[in-house]
Amino acid sequence: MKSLKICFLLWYVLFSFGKAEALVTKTYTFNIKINDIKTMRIITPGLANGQINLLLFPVQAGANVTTSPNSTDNHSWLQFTSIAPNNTFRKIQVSITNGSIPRGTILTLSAIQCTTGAGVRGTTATSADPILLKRNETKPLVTGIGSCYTGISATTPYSGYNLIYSFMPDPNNLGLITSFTNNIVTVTFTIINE
Amino acid sequence: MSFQSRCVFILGFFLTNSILAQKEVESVKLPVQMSIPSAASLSLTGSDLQFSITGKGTEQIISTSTVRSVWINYSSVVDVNSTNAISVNLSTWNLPAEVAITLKVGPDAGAGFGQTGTPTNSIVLSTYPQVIISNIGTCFTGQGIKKGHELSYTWVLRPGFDSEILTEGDLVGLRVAVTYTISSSK
Repeated sequence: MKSLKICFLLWYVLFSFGKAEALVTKTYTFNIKINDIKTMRIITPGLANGQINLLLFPVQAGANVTTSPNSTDNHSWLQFTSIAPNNTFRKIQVSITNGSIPRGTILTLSAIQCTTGAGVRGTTATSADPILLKRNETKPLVTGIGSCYTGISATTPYSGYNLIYSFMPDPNNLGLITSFTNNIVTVTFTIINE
Repeated sequence: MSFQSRCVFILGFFLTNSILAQKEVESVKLPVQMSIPSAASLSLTGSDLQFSITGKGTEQIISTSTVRSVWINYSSVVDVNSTNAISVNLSTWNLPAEVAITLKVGPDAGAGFGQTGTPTNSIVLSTYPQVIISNIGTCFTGQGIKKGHELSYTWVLRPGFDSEILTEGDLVGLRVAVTYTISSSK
């Protein structure tokens, strides 16, 4: 029995020395990654089926077919989030990818500078110079987007870039206009690196 | 950027991203529907315009003093392969049987745009509608005098009546209503 106690004592002493060696400092390397993110959506509060509806007609005898409250729509907001690599900027471009603009008319799109959210939310030059939308012609709507978010509010006050569509007669081709209903075009917004 | 601003940015980013990035979307589509209904309207203007109403047509009260200085303005949007036409008729009158009124429609003044109509030759106003401007496509004439087509009225004795029976005084106070209507000729 006595020899057994001596063996335990000897094991404890040896184990204690071993434990002391395990306290040596070690360095660990953590690889932290933030994914490249660019994602967006368009909200259309108050619009049935999320569809923009524009109507053009002469409002007074002798007057041109002209813009009216029904030929302009500002019920859509573009919201996006972006985490961009260093020194990388994005842009959002638009084009008509399906359907075509009726003869004798033009469709323009502009955006009002986003003031919600935070970060490098880009800029738009379209407030003063609206984009003339044409089929398969891609044009920039917002440029210089870095890491940012616009906000996600879908109730007043809304977040993001307010989009304004204007449907109007082509002043050079008014005579080509004929009446029609339900001509639908698809406007596609794409966020890509600049 | 202060510590608080950084916290707000990070919190906002993750809140936004958690909603928007459930499925990362780099492209979104939005349908835009456009419509232009067929429409046509006309109006009369001029210093000698005594009365006009809108409704089925535009009505003008004319008297022997109504000679020129009346202009008809119109706007029109037509269907494919369709045109509009403007017709005129006497709607109320108290004309002596021997008196007739002729109407001459001038060419479009060119103040508008598009396919304005073609005026017909002079007509004698009657109670049944007669086309005075045809082949109107999508167009507008402009609004006001010297825009659109000038209307010229002439009060005349019908052939065969003796001008000595009807004196100039008999024409004083004569008033008739003339109705202009624009409609599709499809």
